Amino acid sequence: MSRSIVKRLLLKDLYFARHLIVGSIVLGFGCLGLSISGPVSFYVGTVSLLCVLIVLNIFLVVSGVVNERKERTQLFVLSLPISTGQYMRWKLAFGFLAFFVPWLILTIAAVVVIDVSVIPNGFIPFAVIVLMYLLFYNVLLLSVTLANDSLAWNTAIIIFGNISINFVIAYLMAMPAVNHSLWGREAVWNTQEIAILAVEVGLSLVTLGLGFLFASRKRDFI
Amino acid sequence: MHSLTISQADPRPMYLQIVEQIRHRVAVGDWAAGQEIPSIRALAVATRVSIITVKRAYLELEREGVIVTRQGKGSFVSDSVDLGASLLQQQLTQHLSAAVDVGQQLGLTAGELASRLREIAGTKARASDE
Amino acid sequence: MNEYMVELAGVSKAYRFFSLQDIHLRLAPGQIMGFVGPNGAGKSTTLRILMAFVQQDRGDVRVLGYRMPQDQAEAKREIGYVSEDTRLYGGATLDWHMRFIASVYPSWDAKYAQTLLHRFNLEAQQTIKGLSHGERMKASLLLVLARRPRLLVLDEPTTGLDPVARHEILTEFIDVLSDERRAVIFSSQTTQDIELISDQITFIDRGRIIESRDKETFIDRWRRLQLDVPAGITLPTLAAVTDVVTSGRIATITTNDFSPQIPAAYTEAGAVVREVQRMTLEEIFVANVMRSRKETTA
Repeated sequence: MSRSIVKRLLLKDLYFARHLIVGSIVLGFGCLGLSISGPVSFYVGTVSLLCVLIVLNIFLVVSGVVNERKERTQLFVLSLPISTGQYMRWKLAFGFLAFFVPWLILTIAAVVVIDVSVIPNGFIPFAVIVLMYLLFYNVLLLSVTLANDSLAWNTAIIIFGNISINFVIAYLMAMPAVNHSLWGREAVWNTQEIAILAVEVGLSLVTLGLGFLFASRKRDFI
Repeated sequence: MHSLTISQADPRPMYLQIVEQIRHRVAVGDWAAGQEIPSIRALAVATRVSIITVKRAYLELEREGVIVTRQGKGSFVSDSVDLGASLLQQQLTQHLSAAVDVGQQLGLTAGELASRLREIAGTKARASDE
Repeated sequence: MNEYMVELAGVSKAYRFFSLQDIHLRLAPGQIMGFVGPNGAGKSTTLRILMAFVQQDRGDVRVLGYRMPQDQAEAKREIGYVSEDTRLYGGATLDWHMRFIASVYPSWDAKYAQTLLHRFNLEAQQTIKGLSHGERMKASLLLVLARRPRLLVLDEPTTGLDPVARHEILTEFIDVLSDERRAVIFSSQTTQDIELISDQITFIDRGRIIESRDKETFIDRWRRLQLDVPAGITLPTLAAVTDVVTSGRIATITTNDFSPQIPAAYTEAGAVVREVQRMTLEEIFVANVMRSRKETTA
């Protein structure tokens, strides 16, 4: 019985967040459209796309976890026949899925857009690495928020994410391995880029695991 | 349904209010001799008081012989005939006995107590004449 | 299984500025327990530990025979919890909540739910954010009552409600007890409500249980005596007396174990017992807290 309740709760959360999810996909497509309509709008479009994903991330975590805690609807949910472990897993699943779906759609769309448009295909590895960084950031924010109740930590991570993305982009653009092939007509995946991607995926999994571990050990939910 | 009225403003304890209301119903014949009365739980729910209060009231009524509880069957009004009159007599005895207790605490003699009684009876008679 | 609906043994929980110490509590089926204590005494914490929202540092918690927090998912199938600060989803309607709860609990009684809707004067189609505090409490209680849980755990359910709503709700609580296999534990600041419908009363203050016994015994054993003390008379110190307040010639005695010997002892010593008064639960509660605080500082 409890498993189906968690599923029902997940669907409920996704239903409540439907505007956010659909809206971010639509906005994301808008940003992509913007990015191919000229050199200036390229920068505006790409930066906006990143913003959309960051904002989606923050909204999901804030409304899904932090608000529920603050608004005490948590008490309503916790009084349902689920264990606190299931509650954590549900929140983790929601926070990840609700971000992952739009993220995946927009990432694939970005690759396709780069491929068919005038933007050099050399950009593809760079774009994928940056977007993957956002997925890692989602996992990080989610894990930190679930593992502790401190608003200070959450705010710190949000600020960190916003600032770090700029450094990541700058660092990547400065890397000779990336820089060389950026403007080329072909998408070139060299070993360094693949390594970076692997590190991002690996870190995401580790963070998810750690977040889940700390969340499971939580004893007080109020 | 059989429900009684409890007043929280009444200085008398709640169980006593229940006892008196039930005694009164028996005295006037509303609850006939031998008739089954509501279970403790049912009366508590209907009157909206705690079960333990009703339980105490029933215990008191049983002690006085107003009701009897038959194991497994429920509670009933006693089979005694003329319960009404003897109940009122019992009430009087209890009131007077309580008065004696209070009088003792105040350090009154029986004679002083008796004259207080006459004094109050006289005042009440005059009040009802007006 | 266990015969008690709720059993807390040696439960302790430490926070930075407050700690719950060595809590023992038992609730038998078919009873209502009233949980009384000043603000910050630990009522909410105790009830949260009961519901596994918070885990105890030490001690055993068993609810309906299930160990908490280990078996909390099973236990919560048969428990209904409402607290004064429970919130429902503001953007959704009461009807959405009813359908949601009905889909989760097979024991949902739709007819009873409709009855409660009428009795509580609520509109199912209204969104939660449009409801007043009292209406939201009634809505939360409806969601819990309509699925007829075996145990009701209520944290200040009547606080902030108008007298009519309180009356309606108390009626529903006691109606739960018409099934003697169910039980209710509720905390309240309104001692009047506790006094009316509780079978068992538990007093808590500063994280400790001061006393827990049946209501009639409480009310029977506490008395206030008003004495006239002539000059030169010293009042005897009696064991059962918790408090003596003197003002000129007048003394007010509070006792928690009344027997006729007490006024007799004072009369013998030369005082005049003017009045022997029963105490309301509120007065007993305050006197009990004062007594326990004196004892712990002594």
